[in-house]
Amino acid sequence: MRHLRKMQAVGSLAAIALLAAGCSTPANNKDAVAAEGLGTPSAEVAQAAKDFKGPFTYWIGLTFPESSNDLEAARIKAWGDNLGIQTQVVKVNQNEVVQQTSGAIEAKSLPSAMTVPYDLMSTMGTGGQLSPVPDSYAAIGEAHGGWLKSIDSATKAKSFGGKVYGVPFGFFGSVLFSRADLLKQKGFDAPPKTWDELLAQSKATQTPPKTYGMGFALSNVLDGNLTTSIMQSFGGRVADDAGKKCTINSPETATFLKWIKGAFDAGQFPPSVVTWDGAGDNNSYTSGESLFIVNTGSVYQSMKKDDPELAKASAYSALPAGPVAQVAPVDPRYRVVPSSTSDAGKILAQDLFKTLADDTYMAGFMENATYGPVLNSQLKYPVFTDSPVHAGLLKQAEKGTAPAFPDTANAAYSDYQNAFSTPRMVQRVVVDKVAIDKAMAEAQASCQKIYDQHAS
Amino acid sequence: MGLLLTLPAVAVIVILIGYPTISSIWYSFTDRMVGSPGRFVGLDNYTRLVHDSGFLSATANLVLIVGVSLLLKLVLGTVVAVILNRPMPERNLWRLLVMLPWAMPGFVAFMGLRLMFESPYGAINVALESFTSPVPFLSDPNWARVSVVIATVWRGFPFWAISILAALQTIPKELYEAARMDGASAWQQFTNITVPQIRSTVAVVAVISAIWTANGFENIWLMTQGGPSTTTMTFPVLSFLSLQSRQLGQAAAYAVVILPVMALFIMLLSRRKKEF
Amino acid sequence: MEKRSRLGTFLGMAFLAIVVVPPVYYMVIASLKPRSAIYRTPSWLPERSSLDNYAKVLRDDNFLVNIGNSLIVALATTLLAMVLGVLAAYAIARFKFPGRNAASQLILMSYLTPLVLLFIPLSVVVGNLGLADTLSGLVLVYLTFAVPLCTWLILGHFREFPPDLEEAASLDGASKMRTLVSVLLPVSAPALATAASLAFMMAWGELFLALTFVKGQGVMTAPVALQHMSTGDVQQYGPIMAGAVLSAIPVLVVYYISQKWVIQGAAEGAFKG
Repeated sequence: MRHLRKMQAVGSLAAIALLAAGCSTPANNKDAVAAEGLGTPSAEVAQAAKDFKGPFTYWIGLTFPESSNDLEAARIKAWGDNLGIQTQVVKVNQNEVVQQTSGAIEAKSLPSAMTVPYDLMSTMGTGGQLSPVPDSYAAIGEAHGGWLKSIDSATKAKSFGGKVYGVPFGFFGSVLFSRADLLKQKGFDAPPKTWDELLAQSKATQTPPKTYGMGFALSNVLDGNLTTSIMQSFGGRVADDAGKKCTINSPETATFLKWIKGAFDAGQFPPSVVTWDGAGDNNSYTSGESLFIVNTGSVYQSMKKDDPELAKASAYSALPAGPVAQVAPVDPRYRVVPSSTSDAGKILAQDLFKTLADDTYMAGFMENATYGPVLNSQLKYPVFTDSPVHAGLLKQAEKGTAPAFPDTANAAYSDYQNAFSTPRMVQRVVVDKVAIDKAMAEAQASCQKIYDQHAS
Repeated sequence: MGLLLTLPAVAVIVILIGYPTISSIWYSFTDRMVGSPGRFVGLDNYTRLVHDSGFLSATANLVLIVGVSLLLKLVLGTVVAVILNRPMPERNLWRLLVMLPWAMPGFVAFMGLRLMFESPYGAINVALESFTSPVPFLSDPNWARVSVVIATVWRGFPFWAISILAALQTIPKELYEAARMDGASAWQQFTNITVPQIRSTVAVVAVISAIWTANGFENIWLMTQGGPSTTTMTFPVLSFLSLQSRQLGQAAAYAVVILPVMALFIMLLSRRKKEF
Repeated sequence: MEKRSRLGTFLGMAFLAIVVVPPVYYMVIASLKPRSAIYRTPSWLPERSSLDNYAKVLRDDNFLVNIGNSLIVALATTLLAMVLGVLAAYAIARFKFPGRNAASQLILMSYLTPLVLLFIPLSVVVGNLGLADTLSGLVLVYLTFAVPLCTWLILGHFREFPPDLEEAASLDGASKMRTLVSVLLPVSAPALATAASLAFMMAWGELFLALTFVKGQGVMTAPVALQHMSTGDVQQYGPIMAGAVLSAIPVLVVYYISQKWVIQGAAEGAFKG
C-alpha cells in the first residue's frame, strides 16, 4: 500500500517534469503584434542608439492578466532589437510600485523609463525626478486623433506648472459590478444611478449572512480609496482649491460619514470589508458574497476564465452619483522618463513611447488588459464594443472625472490617497465607534501634515 | 586574536546595519520625503505620535500581540521539542513535518493562513458551516487579534522547537538515568535537568524571537493590514503606511520609537543572565 | 510503564499532526484547484483537482529558474554567515579582548531596526557598491539578519560547553584554531546544523528585501516570482500554492540531510567526550 502511494508520487513528479520540458511553444500571433510597424529609425534616434550605454531598462506595471505584460515585454524587446540596443524589461507589481520606486530614487537607480500610476507621476514630477516630455505628448496625441479631454486635463494639471511629465497610454477606471440576476428577482431591472438607490437595492436584495449588498473595501488598501470618491460625491473635500489647506473637517464629510455608518450598522457591508486586502472585492464577488463591487475590470477578466456564468449574470455600469456630484475618477497610467536617464536614453525612451502607442499594437494590448482608452483612435478598438466591462470604461472615458476632481490634483493629494486616509477615517467611525467629529478632526490633522510637507 | 575573529562579523554589521540604522534615526528628526533631503524638525515627528490612535494601538499590541505570541511560542515550542526528543516511529519525518510552517516562504504561510481565517469562504468557516454562520475571524476587533496571534505562533514555533530540540540533544543521557535511579518523577526530571540545561538556549531564542515578532511585518500586513481600524496595528505597519505616502521622517519615527523599549528588554535580560 | 509511554508517544504524534497538518493540507489541496473551487465552492475535499497550476508555474512562469536563484542566494548566505558567525562566537565566548562586550551587544542590537525601514538606506549602500539587481547584492543584504542569527545561536552553545576539554587540548599543544575545529565544532554539530538550517530557511523565504533588491526576470528569487503571480487585485491562489509546494521541497531536503548529519555529529562528539 505504502509502496503504491510512493509510485503515485513518482508518477506525478514525472508528469510535472514532462510538462516543464514541453514548454517552448512560440505564440506566433503575439510576436507578430509585438513587431508591428517598426520602421527605420530617424537619424536622431539612430544616433542616440549608438551613443546609448548599457542596457535600456523599462519598468512595466504588472497587471492582470499576464498576457498583457508578456505582450508589452515582447514589444519593447522587438523595438530594441530593431535599433540594435539591449533592452531589459522589469515587471513591477502595482502593489509595491511606491516601495520600489522609493528605494530606487534614494539609491539613484531608477530605470531608463517606466510606467507609473498618476499619483506617482505627480509626486515624482513635482519632486524633480522626471524629465518633461511635452513634445512627445503632443506628437503622439496628434498622430492618434487627439487626447481625450479628461486625460488631457489630468496630464496638464495646474500643479505641474505647465509641464507635461508623462505620456498616458490607458487608464484604470471604476466600473460598478452588480449581480443583475439576483437584483432582477427583486424587480430592479437597471443598475443604481445614485448611492442612495444602491443602498435601497442592497437592503431589498441581500440575504445575510449568505449575501451582502455593498462589497466596497473599507480597509487600508488602495481599493479603500473608493471612499474618497464617495465622500466627494457627497460634497466633502480633501483640501481647498489652492490645494494647500485640508478641508476634511466639514458638514459635508459628516453627512458622508453618517451615510456610510448607517449602511454599515444596517449590515449592508460584508463584515470582512474592514480587513479586505487588495483582492478582497474580487474574492468576495467571485465567492458570491457581494451583490455590488467597484473594480477596474480585472475581476471581469478573471471571471471570464474561471466562472463565465457569473460574468454573464453580472451587469456593468458607471459609478453611482452622490447628492452633490457624480465622481468617477479616471486613473491614467503614464510612461515617464526619470531625469537621471542620459540624454541619449531620453531620446530613445520617447521613441519607445511612440512605438508603444501604435494602434495595431495597442488594440492587441488592450484586448488583453483592462485599461480604458485615452486617445481618440483607441475608441474604435473592437474590445470597447465586444466586452461589457470595456464598454463601461469607454463610457467613463467620455463622462468620467479627472483624477482628484473636484479636489485639486497635486502631490499632496496623491500622498493623502497613498496613506489610505479616507478609509482609515471611515474605520475609526464604523469599527472603533468614535464620534464622527473626532474622526474628522484626526483625519484633518494627519492630512494637514502631509499637505504642509509638500508646501515647504 | 579575538578582535581579529570578530572583525568580519562586526564589519558586516557596521556597514550593513549600523549605517542604515543611524540614517534612520537621523531621518526621524527631519521632515525628509523620498527624493528630498528635508529639514531638521526636532521632535515634531515624535510629538505627533502621542495623538495618533494607531500609535496607541501599536503600543498596546506590543503586549497583546507580540507578548502573547511569544509566550505561546515558548510553550508550544518546548512541548513540541520534548515530544520530538522522545523515541517515536519515523522520528526524522515527524521533525520534518514540524518544520513545514517555517519551510515555506513567510508570505506564502500568511497568505495560506489568511485563507484559513477568511470569512465566509475561509477554511475554518467552511468546516464550521453546519454549526454557525460565518465567524468574522479577521474583521471583528477581538477575533482579529486572536487570529493574528494564532497565525504568528503557527508560523514561528518551529524555530523555538528545533532550537530547543538541538539543546535537548546535547544533554547527556546519563543525567536522566542517574535521576531515575534516585527515583525522580518525569516532572522532576524536566524541572531539575531539562530546564537548567536548555535555559540559555531559550534565553537566546527568546530575545531573537521577541525582536522578530516586534519587527514582524508580513504577519500583520498580509492578514489584516493592521485593521480593522487600528486593532492589530504594530510599529512596522505604521512605518510602512507612512512610507506609502513617502514620508520618510515620519516612517523612521515609528520605527525608531520602539528601539529604547527593545534595548531595555535586552538589557534586562542580560542583567539577569550573566552570559549576555 | 511500557504501555503508558506508548500512549504518550501516540498522543505526542497526534498533537503534532493536529497543530501542523490542517493548514498545510488546505494549502496543498488549494494548489490543485482552479480559482472558483477555492472561493466559490470552497471545500476541505480535493474536489476538481488537477496539476494545471503546477504546469502553469513550471511551464509559463519558468519557476525552476527562480528556485535556482533562491538556492544560490540561500546557500551563499548560509555559508558566509556560518563562517563569520562561528569566528565571532568563538572569539566572544573564549577570548578576552577590548570591546568584547560591545561586540556582543552590537551583534544583538543590530537586529532592532525593522526591515520595513532599513531597506531604503540599504538600497543606497547596495547601489553605491554597484550591486543593485544582482544576486550578490541580495546575499550581502541577507547577511544583515543571517550573521547576527548564526552568531547568537552558536554563541549560546559555545558558552554552555565546558572549556575544560579545550584546555586539555591546548595543553596537548593544539593551537586555538585547531581546538576550535577539532574539539569545539564537532560537539556543537547540532547547534551548527540548527543555525545553518535556520539561516538557510530565512534566506530562502525572504520576500520584502528581495522585492527591492532583485527585480529583473533572471535574478528573481522564488518568493518574488510567487508574489508576482498575484497581479493587481487578482490573487492566483492555486499557482502560488503550487509554487510554494515546489519551493518547500529543497528546504525540506536540506533540513532532512542536516538532521542526519546532526545526529551523527552529536554521536561523534559524545564519544570524544
